[in-house]
Amino acid sequence: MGLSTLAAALAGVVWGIFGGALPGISPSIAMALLLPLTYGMEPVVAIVLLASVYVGAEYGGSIPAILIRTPGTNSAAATTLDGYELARQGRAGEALGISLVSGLVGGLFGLAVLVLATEPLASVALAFTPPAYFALGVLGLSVIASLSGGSLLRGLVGAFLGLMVATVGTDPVSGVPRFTFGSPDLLGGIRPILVMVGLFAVAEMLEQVSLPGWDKASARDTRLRLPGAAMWKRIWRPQAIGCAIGTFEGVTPGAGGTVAAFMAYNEARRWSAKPDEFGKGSVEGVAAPEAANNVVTATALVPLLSLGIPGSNSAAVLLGGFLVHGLVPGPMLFQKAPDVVAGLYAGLFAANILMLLAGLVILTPCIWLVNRPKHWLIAFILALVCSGVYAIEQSAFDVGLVLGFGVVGYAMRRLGVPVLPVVLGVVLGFMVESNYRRSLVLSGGDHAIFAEDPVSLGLLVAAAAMTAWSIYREARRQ
Amino acid sequence: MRLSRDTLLGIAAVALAGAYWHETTGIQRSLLSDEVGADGVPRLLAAGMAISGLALALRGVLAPAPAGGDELPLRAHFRAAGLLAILALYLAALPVAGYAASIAGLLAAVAAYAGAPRGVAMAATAVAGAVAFWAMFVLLLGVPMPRGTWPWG
Repeated sequence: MGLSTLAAALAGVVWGIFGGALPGISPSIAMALLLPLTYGMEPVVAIVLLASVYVGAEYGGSIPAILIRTPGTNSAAATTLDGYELARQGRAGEALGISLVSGLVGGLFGLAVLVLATEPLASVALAFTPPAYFALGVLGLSVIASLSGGSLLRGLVGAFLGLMVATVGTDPVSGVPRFTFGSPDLLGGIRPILVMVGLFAVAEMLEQVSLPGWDKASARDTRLRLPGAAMWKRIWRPQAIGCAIGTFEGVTPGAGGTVAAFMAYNEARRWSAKPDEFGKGSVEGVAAPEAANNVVTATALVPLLSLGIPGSNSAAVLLGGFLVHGLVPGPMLFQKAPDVVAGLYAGLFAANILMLLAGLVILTPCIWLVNRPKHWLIAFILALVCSGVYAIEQSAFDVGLVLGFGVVGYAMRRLGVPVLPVVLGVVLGFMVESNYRRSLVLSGGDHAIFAEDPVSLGLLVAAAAMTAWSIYREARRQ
Repeated sequence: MRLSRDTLLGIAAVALAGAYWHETTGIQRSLLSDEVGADGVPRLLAAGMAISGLALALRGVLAPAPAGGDELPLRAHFRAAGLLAILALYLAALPVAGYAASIAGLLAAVAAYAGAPRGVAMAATAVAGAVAFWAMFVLLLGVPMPRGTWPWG
C-alpha cells in the first residue's frame, strides 16, 4: 500500500470522526461532502478515502452519544442508552475507550467477512449475460421494498423519481437526447454524485438552519481509557454478539448499522449475566452496539462490490466514488480493477488501525468542534459543497442542480419519502434500461429471453420473493 | 380540509408523471432505435409513477395515517427558502465577483442568517474562511475558479 493511500486512510478516518461527532452529519453526508474533492485523485486513493470516512464516522458518532446524549450518527443511538449513563457516573473516558476498541474489533471482523465473501459471490456473477444484468438491476431495485421505512408506496415514488432522473441525457441505444430541455449541460445526463450531495448534504443544511443548536460537551472526565484485561473479559461476549448481528445486517440491503446496533444491544442484554445493569450504565451496552455498527461498515460493502447493489446510504455514496473514476462495482470490478479492490481491503485495514490511534488523540479537537457555533458549521459546510461541486467540472450549472436536489430532498423529508430508493433509481437506472433493451435486441423483441436465461430467471424470482415478503410484512404491520 | 401527507405526495407524483409523459412525446425518433425506442422505458416509468401516486392519494383519503416524514412549522420552511435564496445569490455573484469574494460573502451571509452575531469577528472569520477555501481549491488542487470581472482581474 502506497504512502498516499495510507494518508488517505488517515485523512478519511479523521474527517469521519469529526463528521460523525457532529449531530446531523451522518456518515453518508460526511462522505458526500468529500466526494467532489476525489475527482483529481487516483481511484484507489479516492475509494480508500471515502471508505475510511465511513469507518471513522461510526466511532465519531459515539462521542456526542456518550458525552451529551445526542447520537452523532443514527447508528450511535443505541450507544446513548448506557454510554451517557456511564458519563453521568464520571466514566465517560471508560465508555469512549470501550466504544473505540469495540469499533476496532467490529471493523476488523467485518473486513475479514468482506474479503472472504465478496470475491466468490462476484465470480458467480461473472457469467452474467444482458438479461441477467437486467435482472440483477431489478433485484437491486426490489431492495427498495425493505428500504422504504414502512411505506412501500412512498419508496416506489422515490424509486420512480430516481429512475426518471437516470433517463435524462442521451439515450443509451439510439443516441437521441431525452429530457434535456435544449440544454447542452444535460446531454451527458445527471451524475449520481450531484443527486447524492443535494439529497444528503444540502437538504440537511436546509433543515438544520431552523433547528435549535445541540448541547455543549464538557472536556471534564473525558480522558480516554482503554479497557484492561478485566474489562476485556466482560466485553468480549457482547462484542461477539455485535459481530454476528452486524455481519447479518450488513450484508442484508436496507438493514444497516442502526438496526444492527439496536439488535446487538438487545441480544447482549438477553445473554448478559447482569441484564439489570443495562440502561443504567452497562459497559456491555456500549460494546455490543459499537461492535455491530462497525462490522456493518465493511459487510455493507459485500453486495456493493460483488453485485453492484448499494444496500445503504453510505454504500451508495461509495458507489458514487467508484463511478466518478469510471469504475463500476460488481463482478467485473475484480477483473478490470483488482488493484482498486486490493487497495480498498488494505485501506480498510489501515483505517481501522488508524481509527484506534486517531481516537486516542482526537477527542479534544472533537469536543472543540462539537462546541463550535452551529451557524458557522452550516456556513462552512455549504461553502464546501458549493466549492467542491463547482470544482468537478467548473460548472455553475452543476451547483444549481445540487441546490435543486437539495430542495427535492427537503421536500421528500417533509413528505416522508425515503432517500435511498431515489439514489438506487439513479445509479441502477442506466444498467436496467440498457440491459433490458439490449436483451430485447438479442431476442428480436421476445420477452421470453428473461425466463430462458437461468440466472436471469433466478434473480427475477428472488426479486419477486423479496418484494412479496416486504408487502406481506407491511400489510401485517398495518 | 387539510390534505394528508399521502394525498399531497400522491397528487405531486401524478402531476410529475403527467409532465414527464408529456415530455416523452417530444423525444425524437431515430433510425438507429430499437423496438422499445428512446421513449419506451420513460413511458413505463411515467405509468408506474402515476399508479403509485394514485394509490398513495387513495390511501391518504381512505386511511389517513401520520406515518413517515416529520412536521416542521411553517416558519422553518421560510427559513429554508431564505437560505436557498442566499445560495442562489452566491451562484449569481460567482462570475461577477469571483470565487474568493463570493465565498467570503456566502460564509458571512449564511452565518449571519443562521444566527451568528454580526460584527468584526464575523467578518474576520468569513474572510479567513474564504482564504482557506481559496488556498485549498486554487493553490492546492489547482482548480480554475472564477476570477470575476474586477478591473485588476
